[in-house]
Amino acid sequence: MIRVLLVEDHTAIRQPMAFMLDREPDLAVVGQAATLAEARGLLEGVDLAILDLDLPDGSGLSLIPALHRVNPNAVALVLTASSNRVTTARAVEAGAAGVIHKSQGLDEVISAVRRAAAGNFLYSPRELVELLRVAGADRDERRAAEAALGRLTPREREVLQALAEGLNDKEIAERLQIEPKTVRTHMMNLLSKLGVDSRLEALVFAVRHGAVRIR
Amino acid sequence: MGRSGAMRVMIANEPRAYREVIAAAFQRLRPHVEVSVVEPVGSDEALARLSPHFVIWSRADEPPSEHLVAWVSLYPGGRNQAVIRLGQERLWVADVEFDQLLWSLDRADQLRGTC
Repeated sequence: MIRVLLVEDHTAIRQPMAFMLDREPDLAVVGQAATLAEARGLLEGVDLAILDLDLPDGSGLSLIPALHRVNPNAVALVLTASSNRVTTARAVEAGAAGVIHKSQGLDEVISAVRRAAAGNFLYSPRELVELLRVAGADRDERRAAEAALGRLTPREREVLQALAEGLNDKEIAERLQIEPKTVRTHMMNLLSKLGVDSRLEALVFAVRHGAVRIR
Repeated sequence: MGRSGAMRVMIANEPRAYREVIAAAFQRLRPHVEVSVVEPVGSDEALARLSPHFVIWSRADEPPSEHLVAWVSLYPGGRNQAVIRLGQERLWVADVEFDQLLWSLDRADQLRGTC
């Protein structure tokens, strides 16, 4: 019997999914959780955890180390709506046996659970190597971005945030009570530090790496 | 008008895994109900073809269906909430539970007999 923990915050989905998995003769849902906090108390005796990626208190990936500490043989499958390859790569790097896309049907979910519980990765060795390469490149990119953002002065961050709010140089100058030419100087400096050639690129970079809030 | 034939249910919410588990559980728990799983992209055509009494989808607007007595807008815009419309009654539910969907289905079946 495969003992399954289901971690998914959409209750109207988690409950019927648990119900349907329980109908399978070789599966038993031994726990359900809507949050990481709830799930942490339910890891004991679990063979396989189905983890939603986007939970109210964080990413389902953060449960994988705790799951493996409790049961080194336990398997994690990540459930996500994202079709981004980086998402899959991050999940595999975090120790997941695979990713179940929410565009897959119930039969495919059950099949993935059985294959993963039998000790099989959902990917070929070649795919695994490629995913780990993607995860490594993604990690390097994030580190480089954090370093670049870390070089910005508080004033340059304010200018970047104002840019994200759609303000022009004159409006930024008024908000920060500085001269427009000083705004342009800050802008030139921050473009240089971020390694981008335009304000649009700076904005995309800042949004992608969570450095500004879009209102 | 009253009841005639089985209650027709159309499940067309996003994403596929979500609609299939709801449909499968409905079929298991209410075997007398005709459940159809429909791709959201084809839901308008399916509404005309199936003429369901009860619809679950992710859209916020009311499904145009001749025999419709109740519908649920499940997780519209990706928000963890649902709008349940039963006859003239409209309910907003945060973090809706499966039991509430099942209750809506049963209530729709009752309403179908009184319409």
